[in-house]
Amino acid sequence: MPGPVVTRGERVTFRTVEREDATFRQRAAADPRVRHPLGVAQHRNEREAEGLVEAMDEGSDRLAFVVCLDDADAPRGNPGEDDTTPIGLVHAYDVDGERAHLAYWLTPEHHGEGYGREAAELLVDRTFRVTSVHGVGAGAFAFNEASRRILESLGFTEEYRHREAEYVNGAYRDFVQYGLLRREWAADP
Amino acid sequence: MPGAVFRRGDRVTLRTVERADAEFVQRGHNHPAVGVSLGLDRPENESSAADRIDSVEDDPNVATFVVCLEDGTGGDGDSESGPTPIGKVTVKNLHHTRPELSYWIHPEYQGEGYGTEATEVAVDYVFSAHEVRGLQAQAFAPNDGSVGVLENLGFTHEGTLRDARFRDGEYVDVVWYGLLREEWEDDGDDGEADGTGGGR
Repeated sequence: MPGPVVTRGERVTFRTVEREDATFRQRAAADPRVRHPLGVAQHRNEREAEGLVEAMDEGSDRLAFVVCLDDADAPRGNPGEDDTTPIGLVHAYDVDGERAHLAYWLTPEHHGEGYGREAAELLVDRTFRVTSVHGVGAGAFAFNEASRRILESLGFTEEYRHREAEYVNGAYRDFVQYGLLRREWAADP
Repeated sequence: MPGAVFRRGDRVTLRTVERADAEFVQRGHNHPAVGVSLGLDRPENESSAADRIDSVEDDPNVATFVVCLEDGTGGDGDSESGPTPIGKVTVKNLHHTRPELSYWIHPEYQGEGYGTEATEVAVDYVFSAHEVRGLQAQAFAPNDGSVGVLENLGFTHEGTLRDARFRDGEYVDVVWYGLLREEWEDDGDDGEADGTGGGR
């Protein structure tokens, strides 16, 4: 289960990623609807997934949260099984440098409800609030229109398009990178 | 002293990087005109330069070369000293769809086209020896020399990260370039067979 609440949006909460979230991480990321947009070729078994929490979610150069839908009476502290539903993961990497890199995914059954936009917005806000980065970047494969729409709706600018950047799901795919500077975020609350 | 010749251009050779090259690499990395343009933001001593050479040896996805002039002077006018090292070319992430190319030429030897020639030989090597889809490279926006090498070789400007790095007292843009295999092979007389490059 995820840990305590770190911050909350209108509907979602960000809770700490715990080692016990390896199973959630693995189950969701094995789904091609999550795996392909992330460009992850291999699925992971549960043992590999346990190592991923340490490798991907922990470290002083990053922020990582489980995106949760809390029940009305869910505690801010460690929730019980029935108190909250984890629906995705969000990351800000390289927060100790000039520009952080954001990444996010939600489980497919929670797509299409605006949770992705809300989580991405909360992540941008959190990153600018608690770190001194000059800007944030995020990228998506060209075919991933839902993710690109989120970035565009938050005011990100398209900065480069790497042609045929990776081989994903049967074809070489373009990768589009976006950026948002702190002064642009401040100007567009 | 660099190692064996791996590939040859008209005027330069690409030689293997040896631990004994740490002193040369360190001299380049610490030169403000090189280090700043590579994004190196702290001094590098000879021991850490040697450690870096070691760690690259252990990485099968990196190919790195000392660029040399075969003038037999070793850079110090001594005719017994062998080749003169003038720069370095590196290709990393060889297991990726588009590995990343980087390079520097010591300021004393810039402006002679050596960077373009060395990089061209390296690009030929990558496309002929590795099953990659393309190559990519990045540079800080004010770095006309580096961008010139990429444009000479037919790379396409794929975009610019705004204010992405802090260097030399200000935030600067990072420009990204890419080159796909067919753009390289279609581009005239660059015989992949002889790997000699030149003539652009």
